[in-house]
Amino acid sequence: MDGSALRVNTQLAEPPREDTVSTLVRRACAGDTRAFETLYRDHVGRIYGTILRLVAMDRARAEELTQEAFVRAWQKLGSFRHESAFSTWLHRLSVNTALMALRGKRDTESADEEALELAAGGEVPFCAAERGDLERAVSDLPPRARAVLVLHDVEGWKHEEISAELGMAVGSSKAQLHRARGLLRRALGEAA
Amino acid sequence: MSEFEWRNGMRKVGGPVEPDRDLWPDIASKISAVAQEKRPSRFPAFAIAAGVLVASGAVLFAWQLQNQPIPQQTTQETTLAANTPVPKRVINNVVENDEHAPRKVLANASDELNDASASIQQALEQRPDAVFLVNLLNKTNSQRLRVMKKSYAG
Repeated sequence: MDGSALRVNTQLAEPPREDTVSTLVRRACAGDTRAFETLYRDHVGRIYGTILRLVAMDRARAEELTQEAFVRAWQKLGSFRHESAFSTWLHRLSVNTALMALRGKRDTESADEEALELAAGGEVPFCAAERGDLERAVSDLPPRARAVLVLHDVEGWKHEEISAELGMAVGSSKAQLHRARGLLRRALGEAA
Repeated sequence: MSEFEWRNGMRKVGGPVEPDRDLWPDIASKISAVAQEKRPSRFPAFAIAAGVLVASGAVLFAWQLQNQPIPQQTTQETTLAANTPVPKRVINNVVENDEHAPRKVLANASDELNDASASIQQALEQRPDAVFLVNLLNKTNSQRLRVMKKSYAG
């Protein structure tokens, strides 16, 4: 299956106007915490959602990392150059925060894989799976495969971007995606 | 499975998710803690800026002295040197009864301004948002330009 055709763009239901966002960013950069709070409220849903999927639906961990991501964003606001959308910059920073946390837990990957092997073989076809089933299946993927799948198929990143962020070759990113999809299909009961 | 089915399936997984609780109070307190940790690092920037201001003042003073006639210069220097914190080497160069004294004063002024400019740029690297440092750098650079022009003219 051609992975590039499967990207799903996730956007805010009502994205804030970029000129307003730019003003808020400048005010926050000057130390205005109220402006930063507005930015937080505008973006927290997307950021938390992405991090939640990357950390296998561990809500407590996702909350902790979301807080960490916004604190890092506050610290690095001065480096935001207003050349790209703030949401893109914040999203990347947040993904990076979550991925750093995942790198620290890489030693648990083999255990995750064993759990997935045991979980595979169910009878639920992919197209009929409910969101909860899908989220569980994605959560059970090994961390790196899950990260590639979430970033590519859910967040719409390119393999070049994923490989740069995860420190792997483009070919490895493609291979991880192929593996993740196969494991996901098995977990959802459909033969690859 | 078709691509359409896969796309629909993955779309179910995506999208914003609101956290179970408001995370802002914790973030606000962490930001406040970060700001307090950062505060001491502002002192070097202000210290550098203050030093640069003194150096700029000294250079301007030396410049004024250099433009005075020689007899008046000696009198004024004696009075002012007693009351003004001007770098000693600048005064020494001015009071020298050397025919190359004006040139040396300009060279010293140029050195002082170059040092000042470098210090401000260092301070700006630490505090890129400090508008007063940018203004100071602009002033210093315009003084450097004037000194250079004066050197070439002299």
